[in-house]
Amino acid sequence: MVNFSDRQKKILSLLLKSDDYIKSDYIAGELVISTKTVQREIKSINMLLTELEANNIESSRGKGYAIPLESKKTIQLIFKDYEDKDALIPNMQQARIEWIIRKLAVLSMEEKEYTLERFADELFVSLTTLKKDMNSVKEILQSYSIQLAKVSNKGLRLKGEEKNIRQLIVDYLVLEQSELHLEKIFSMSYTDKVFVEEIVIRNIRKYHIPITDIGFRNLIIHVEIAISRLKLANTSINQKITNIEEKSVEYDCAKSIAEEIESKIHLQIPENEVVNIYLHLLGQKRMLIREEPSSHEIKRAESGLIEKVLVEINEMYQLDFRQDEILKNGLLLHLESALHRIRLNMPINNELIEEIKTNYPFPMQLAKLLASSLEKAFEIKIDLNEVGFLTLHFCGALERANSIQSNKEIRAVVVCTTGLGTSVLLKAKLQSKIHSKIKVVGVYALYQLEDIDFTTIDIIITTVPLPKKYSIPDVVITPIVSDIDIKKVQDFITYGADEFSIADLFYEDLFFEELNCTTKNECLSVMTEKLLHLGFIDQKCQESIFAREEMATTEIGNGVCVPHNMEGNVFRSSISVGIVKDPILWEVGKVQLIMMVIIDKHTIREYTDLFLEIYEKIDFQYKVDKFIKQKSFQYLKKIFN
Amino acid sequence: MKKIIVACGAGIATSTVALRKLQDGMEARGKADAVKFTQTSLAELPSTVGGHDLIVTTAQGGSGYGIPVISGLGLITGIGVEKVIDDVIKTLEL
Repeated sequence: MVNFSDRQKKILSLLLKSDDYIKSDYIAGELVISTKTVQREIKSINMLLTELEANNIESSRGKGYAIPLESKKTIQLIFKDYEDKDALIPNMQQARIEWIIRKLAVLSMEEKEYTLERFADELFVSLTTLKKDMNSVKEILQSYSIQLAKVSNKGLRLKGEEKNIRQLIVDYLVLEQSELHLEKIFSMSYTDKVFVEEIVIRNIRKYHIPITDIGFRNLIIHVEIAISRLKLANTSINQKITNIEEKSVEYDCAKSIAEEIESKIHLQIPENEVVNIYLHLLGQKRMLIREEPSSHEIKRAESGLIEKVLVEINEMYQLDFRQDEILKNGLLLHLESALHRIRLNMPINNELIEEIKTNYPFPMQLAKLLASSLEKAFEIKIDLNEVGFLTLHFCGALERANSIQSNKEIRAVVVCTTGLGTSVLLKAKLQSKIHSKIKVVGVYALYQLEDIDFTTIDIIITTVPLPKKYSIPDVVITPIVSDIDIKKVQDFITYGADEFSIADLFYEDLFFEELNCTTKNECLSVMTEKLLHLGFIDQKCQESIFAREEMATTEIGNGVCVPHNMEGNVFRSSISVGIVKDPILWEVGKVQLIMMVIIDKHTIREYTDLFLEIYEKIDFQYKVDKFIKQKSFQYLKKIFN
Repeated sequence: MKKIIVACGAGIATSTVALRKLQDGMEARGKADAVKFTQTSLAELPSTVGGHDLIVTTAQGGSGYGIPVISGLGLITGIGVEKVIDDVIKTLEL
């Protein structure tokens, strides 16, 4: 084993930090030694490096010393003996604070302590600076309920519940350091490590506990920490033994893992640690298994709650996930472990959270809905990381809902009164022009319609208006099948049969019965912020609403204006309605009723008709006045129905 | 047959309303058959304006691309609809 002296390490550290040559004067100044000593030390470092088969430190007359690029890595690895990845001595306060916490965590694994002077020494800072840093360190430790205790005159060490110290170790050592480094920190031999991994894998297989790769890594790390800590005296976790299902596979598995480890590496594993393993088994992220959506008793509550939320979502957003078994099972399975995590206060890090927030605001809104129901029902607090995971389930559900719609083949019957010849031509034309999406299952005369079973048919395409409405929608086209006709049929395929109703675009949350604003922009802000908050639109869309207003006023007379979007993403079309308390000057005239129309042009056809329809409701002052007087969401729904 | 192009910010909202009022107004004067309408957004106006005889816009100002422009603000605010219709008829010499 090659051993560098502290001074040599400091020199190496300085060199590692630099991408260029460093003069020996500088090194001498930093370390308060003579340049002669620097030269001597470099010489002995080079001897050690040769021993390690690493390239030597280069020296160049007039420029100084540098570590060749290809050696940097090797030297950095040597520094894991030096115990911190910050062989590069941190020089920013934030970095120093983290360095100190990591150091304390490492020390706690070794049952050692450091004095303040020693910290100051290794960090090249004055005691005063260090003491300032220490205040921030204490604050961070406080958030883990850990204190810094003074051990006689030997120095400082962490003092707190074992559970919390382990959490700190996970957060500061495991998440930040490379695997290589961990081996050094954890007092476990390589063979023990392999044993442990093998034991855990075998047992989770044996007990059919499906956890993800990430979950598996987490579990291994916790077990390794447990073992390392147990090897030190008296550092078993003090786990309250509650909420344990002794008959569960997880508990059996934890027991089995503990027993095998005991016999393999001769270590007494107390019951508390078994419970700890059990809890980690429960809390790890589950992998989705297709078979058996197992029906535990406890799941009933969650299951009912999910159903309730899906009904709510359907009412609020007209999105029907109630038949989406994949979503329901996925959520149930996810919640099983997530609720354990949350109840046991085992925070999980969601690396995707920022991306989820920006890219999926609408699904996130749905997830928040579920989260708040869960919070109420189980009296827990669900953090954003967990909401992020729930969001992904809703993203999937939305994706599925879309693909069902777009992949569906439309089954049509064609009605033609002019004779079989034309209808056959019609069928051929339809199929050749929109063949991938439509299947003409039959050609009929008008009178034959009565005898058709429409259950497997989606649409009637007819050349004459039908004398009555049937259970499925119809599209009237001309016998020659013009481009306009094709578009009509295509519209049906794209947008579905649902008769589009303006009333569906109103949401109670988007009804502002008394806007207490004095300016146009204030009104727009209040209303668009709400849309943004609900996840209906993105920021770009919000900006475009203002930009549209800049371009030209959206007033349409009678004290009404219709602000609307031009660009950006609309996740859900809507019409927000605002009644201003006292009419305000908009651009040309006074406005009291704001109807903000936010439309996703891809999902709603005939949007110009939509404006006309709105216009018809407010084309006379008395209509507007009545509406303003009513101030009621129900009335709004009623007049647009 | 004269062709009128109606332009507003996004080409969907206020121009729809303006167009409707213009149509009604022309009809009331018995000139509905003498004009044809196109609806567009301000952004698309430069590419769609060709072949038209008159621009009616709900936005302020803007160049006329060589053809007359009439402000349609009166149409949408409801104050001065008649005047706009008068202007249109006068400008197009109907």
